[in-house]
Amino acid sequence: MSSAGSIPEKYRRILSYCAAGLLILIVTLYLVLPVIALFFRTTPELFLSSLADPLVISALWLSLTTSIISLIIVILVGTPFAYVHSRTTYPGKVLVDTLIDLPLVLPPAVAGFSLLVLYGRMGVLGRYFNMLGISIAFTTLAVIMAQIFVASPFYLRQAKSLFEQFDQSYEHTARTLGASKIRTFLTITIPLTAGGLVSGAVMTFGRALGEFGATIMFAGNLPGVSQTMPLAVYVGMESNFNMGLTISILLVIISFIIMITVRLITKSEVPRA
Amino acid sequence: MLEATIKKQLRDFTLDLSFSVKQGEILILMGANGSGKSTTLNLIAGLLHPDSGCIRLGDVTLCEPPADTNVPVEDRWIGYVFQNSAVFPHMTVAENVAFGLRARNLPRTEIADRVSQMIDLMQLADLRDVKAGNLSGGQKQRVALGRAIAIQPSLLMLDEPFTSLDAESTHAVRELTRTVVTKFKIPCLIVSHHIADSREIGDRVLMLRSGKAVWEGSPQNIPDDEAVCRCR
Repeated sequence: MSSAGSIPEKYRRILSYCAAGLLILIVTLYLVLPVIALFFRTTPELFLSSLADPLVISALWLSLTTSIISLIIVILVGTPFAYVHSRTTYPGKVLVDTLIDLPLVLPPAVAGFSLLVLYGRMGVLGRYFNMLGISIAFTTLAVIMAQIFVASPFYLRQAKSLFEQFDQSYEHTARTLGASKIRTFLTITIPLTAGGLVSGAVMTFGRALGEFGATIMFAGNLPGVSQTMPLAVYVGMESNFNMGLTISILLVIISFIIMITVRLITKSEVPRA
Repeated sequence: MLEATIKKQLRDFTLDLSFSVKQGEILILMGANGSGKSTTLNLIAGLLHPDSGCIRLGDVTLCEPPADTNVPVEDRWIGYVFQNSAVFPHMTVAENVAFGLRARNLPRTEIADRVSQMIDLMQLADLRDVKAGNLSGGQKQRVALGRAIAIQPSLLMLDEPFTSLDAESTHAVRELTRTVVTKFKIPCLIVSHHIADSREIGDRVLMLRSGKAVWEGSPQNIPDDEAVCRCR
């Protein structure tokens, strides 16, 4: 007779509940403890006084404005791109599908280095921009370009998948009723996929806000120009711990809001084919 | 009058049909799944393009591939009700019915008049301001029918409109369909694989098998063996 067979059913159930509970506790604590630790290292007074630090304000303002601009560009270009890509067949579509996912697996530092090689002052294209007096690397524009490069796949993947799964009978009905393709897209397709699109947009914004590797390689770390919040945390760790702590807490709060927003939005149903 | 001669190569067979539907007449397209019924409706609506043939609606040639004639979907004036009714769930019943009228830039007063007329005809007055996503299957089909008729189409097409409805709703939608076809004197094409639908509402039946017409006649004379073996 096996030893497990000798344990009464009641105790076996308690043991399995304990094992499951322990597993959930370990995984959750591992993921949450470092974040909680941030709040233990500061006080409300210290947090509020650091918030007034010009470097914190500058990093916060730069991060928010560049992330919003990146998001707007991704939505304006990415939405029609994802729609056309999902509704048409063209040579090399599979390759394009793979390439737009590339920034998701590419190390951000490599992404930033690649952008530098392309758009830097002596870069493949950058030298021609330079001849026209346009400098891209180590500017705020470079911050936005780096954010778009690393964050856009989050939106593109989501939008592509939504348009592929969307029940086309809604669009066909609108067309037979007299709506043009553009009117159908704006009044039927977009509103009926809006929940998923907003969720993709929020994830893109979050990724852009947290961008570090590509930004430091391509845009540098200049306060007021390219020193975004994650870069300011890096600086703070070396020279101003409280500033780093304050910005980290701000980023945690923003990330938490993003996750809650995505969870609430993804509850809405999209009509599927 | 709808006159259609359609040829299109599909994956498994060639759709090759020729038929006509008179004003005020209801033609039922019957056949097993995958026999080409819905494809035929999509070709007439302009959502698909035939390889050859000619589709005429009254005096207008909608599509004639050799002559390069192809009227865009939005200019064909065809009321098309899909199997799932495809009511726009983010709009109210009234907004759904008004959609086609707004898309065609009709004056506001005319839109309001036609919407009220359709809502009354479809017995949807109590649901006028309800979001269409919250309606039952039968109510959605009535909204879809009212919305399709509101544009005063030259042809009405319904793709399996009764499939997901209970007996009471099926009866109501059948009655309403017959009413609008008679009232507006338009040709009507209904896809169904239920003999009961054909007998209740159809004036004529065209039975398809692998894209070809295999039987045509009165719903009362549908041959039992054909009906049972192929169409149910």
